[in-house]
Amino acid sequence: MPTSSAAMQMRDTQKSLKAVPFSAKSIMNNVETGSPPRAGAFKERPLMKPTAFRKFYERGDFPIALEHDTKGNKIAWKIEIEKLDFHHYLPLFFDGLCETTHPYEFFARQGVHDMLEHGGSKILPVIPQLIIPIKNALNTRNHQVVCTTLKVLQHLVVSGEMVGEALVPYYRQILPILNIFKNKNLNSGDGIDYSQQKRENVGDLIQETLEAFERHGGDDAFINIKYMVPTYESCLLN
Amino acid sequence: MAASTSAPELQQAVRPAQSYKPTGIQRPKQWSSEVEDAYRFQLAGYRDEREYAACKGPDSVERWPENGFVKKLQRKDGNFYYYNQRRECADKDVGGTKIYSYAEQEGK
Repeated sequence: MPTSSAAMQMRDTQKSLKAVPFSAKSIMNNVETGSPPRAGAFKERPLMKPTAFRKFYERGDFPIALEHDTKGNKIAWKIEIEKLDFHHYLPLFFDGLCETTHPYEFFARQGVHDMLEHGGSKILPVIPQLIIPIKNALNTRNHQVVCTTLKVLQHLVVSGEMVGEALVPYYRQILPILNIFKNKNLNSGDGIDYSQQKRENVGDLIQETLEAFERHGGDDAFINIKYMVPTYESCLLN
Repeated sequence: MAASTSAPELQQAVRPAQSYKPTGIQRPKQWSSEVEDAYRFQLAGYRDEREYAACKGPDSVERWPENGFVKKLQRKDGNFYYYNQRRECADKDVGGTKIYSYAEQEGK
């Protein structure tokens, strides 16, 4: 009997052996390597360094009057938007979309909105410079930032003629994140989805954005969207 | 000598600002394009279009060609406010907007 209990004890100690996966030790019998770590595809990736927008804002380089009053949903521009250098300012405001703290987040969002609403034909030539800030903002995978960026993208495609078409070559940079979060819909059963009214449901926003891309992206838009987001179905065909 | 201004001319130049004093005020109950206009002017720090025209000159208001809503206004401190093409005056702001009336309007 003592021999069998000693054998059991030995087997137990062998089972509890732990090793690093893919190491030489890990191929031995009765060694536990544990479960693989999470890939973190949906995990938030916070900013490592402050944005250029924040730097320019703190230095007072933007032509906006910094007011912190209760009226609060408008920017007072020191210079008319029509006279601004869009090649300089529009990418900077887009860079600020990564921000989540006040006042940076508000001024970036409202600044982009005003410039898109009143920019007209000056927006189209700047499109190539906007792609990296858009990609960076989406890559943060932060709920608030992704929602804001999707709304900005919806505004961008209708902001001027040919802007939707000009975005098609850049779908490869923009759409991967949309593909990741496309199914992120709140399953509330028969409850009320309060984020619906505030337009903060990422899955719905992505669907709206892709539909806007297809509507304003010309003939090649759908096939390019489908290539990057295979589960997307056309809203125009059929 | 060319710069000198005669008395009647001077009077005319001063007169508009005085004659733009409103004689009545109303609080609207419902949204309308008139309320939307008043809301936009008041957000920029003016009573209405009359006061804005008196400060910045006639035809200085830029409007959206599609629906005629105010597009851009210059505040009294020289900064610019830009407005959307769509309605900006929310239902909660309707009651806070003031519609001014003037003596000649009342006379009609």
